[in-house]
Amino acid sequence: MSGHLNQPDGPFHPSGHPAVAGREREFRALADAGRRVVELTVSHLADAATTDLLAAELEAVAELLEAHAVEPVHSRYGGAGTDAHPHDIFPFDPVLGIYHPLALPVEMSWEPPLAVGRATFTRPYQGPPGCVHGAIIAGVFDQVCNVANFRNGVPGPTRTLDVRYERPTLLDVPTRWEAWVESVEGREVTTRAHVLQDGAVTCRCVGSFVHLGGGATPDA
Amino acid sequence: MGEDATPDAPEAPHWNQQGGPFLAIAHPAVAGRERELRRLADAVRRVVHATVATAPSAEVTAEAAARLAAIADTLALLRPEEPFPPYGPTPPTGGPHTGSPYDVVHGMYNPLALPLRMHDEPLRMRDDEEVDGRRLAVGEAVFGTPYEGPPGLVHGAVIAGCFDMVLSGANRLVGLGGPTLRIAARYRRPTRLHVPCRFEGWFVAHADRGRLHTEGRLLQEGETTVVVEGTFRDLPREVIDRLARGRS
Repeated sequence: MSGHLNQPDGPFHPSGHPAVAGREREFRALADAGRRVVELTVSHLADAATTDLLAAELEAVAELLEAHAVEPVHSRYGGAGTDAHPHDIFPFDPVLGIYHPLALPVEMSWEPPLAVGRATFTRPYQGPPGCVHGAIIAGVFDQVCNVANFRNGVPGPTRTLDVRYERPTLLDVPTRWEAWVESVEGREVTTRAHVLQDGAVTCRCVGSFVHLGGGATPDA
Repeated sequence: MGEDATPDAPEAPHWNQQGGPFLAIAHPAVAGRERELRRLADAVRRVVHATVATAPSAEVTAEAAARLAAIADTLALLRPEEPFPPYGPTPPTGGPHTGSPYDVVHGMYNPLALPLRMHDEPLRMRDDEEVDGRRLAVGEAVFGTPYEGPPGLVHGAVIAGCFDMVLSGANRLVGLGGPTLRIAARYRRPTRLHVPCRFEGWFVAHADRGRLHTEGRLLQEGETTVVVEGTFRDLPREVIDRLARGRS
């Protein structure tokens, strides 16, 4: 998707993460190439010899990278404050991380008072025939609520997540996710969200989260 | 890939990840290609892990990216004209991993899939008595760095995704199943990375209007970290297959 922040061909986005800063283009190219490989792995007709050849080359690339393993692994967070861009808060997140090949094709933004996610899900994300997998929907809800919490200065882990699937969410149709903080009582944060397709709500979510204090992410 | 294994043996190695045993698949896009497709998917998983757990120089990163892009270019030339069907034969044979090999949560051939190994076993009471031949859906996984949410902990989104699949598996054990209507998860305590997780799901009741009520929990070292309730629509398999033909 052209212009999509965490997908191939998306725009350049500077990072403040110490493991990434100054190497954004190379890290991004690696993650994007990984995303392409992932998508094509579930839809190709390569014969056995070609498949084995490609697998061997992938294993060689893995070995190349594994020679540079770090311990401990660098932080999943960007060390960014709650006023940072959502993708800078979670650069290696498995849901929206720009530098994580498994991350879902969701571009998050902050449009006060809403955390907004945009995505078009394709075949690799299929659950019921022609529809987005319920597990994927639950995952995006968790993270779009997290973004709303961060930007409201009340980040913290999920306590409950209640997702209601009201109608099918179709593949290949743009989705818009919206989340907003409904209330903060002591450490208890209640956040609501829904996802829309063609202007109609397909699923809703309410989550409760525990604000652990502080407003920024852990240091990278 | 390791030795062949029967799909129902709970002590068998994890066949949905690197080094797992061979499992024959009847899906038309996979049958006869299991070994090489599995090697390819496993290699992609290994690259994904290396991508988020290493710190190579810019030059090495760029070289790895270029080589991956070349692999993608080769695969792109070999795309099928028609997309693969989501499901294999009806009814699926050989356990939960064989019916939908490209599933995004537990598909052996989808590198996006979580490292969740699903099987089933007798449902037992607290005194270890089996309950009337009823079965428990079980998902086992050890989540590593790619699945981190809060520091050192498994991402809540990953946990919710696994529950969706495990509860669906519980429904299938009683011959029912269909799309998710509701998933409500309660995270009671942190679920740690690198510690074995055991997801359990059990069918509770067939409620009004064709709705299925299913429950589950997640255990780490014998303690429950998350509990979940799910509601699903009961759709006959032939209806799901008809939808699949219409939308694929």
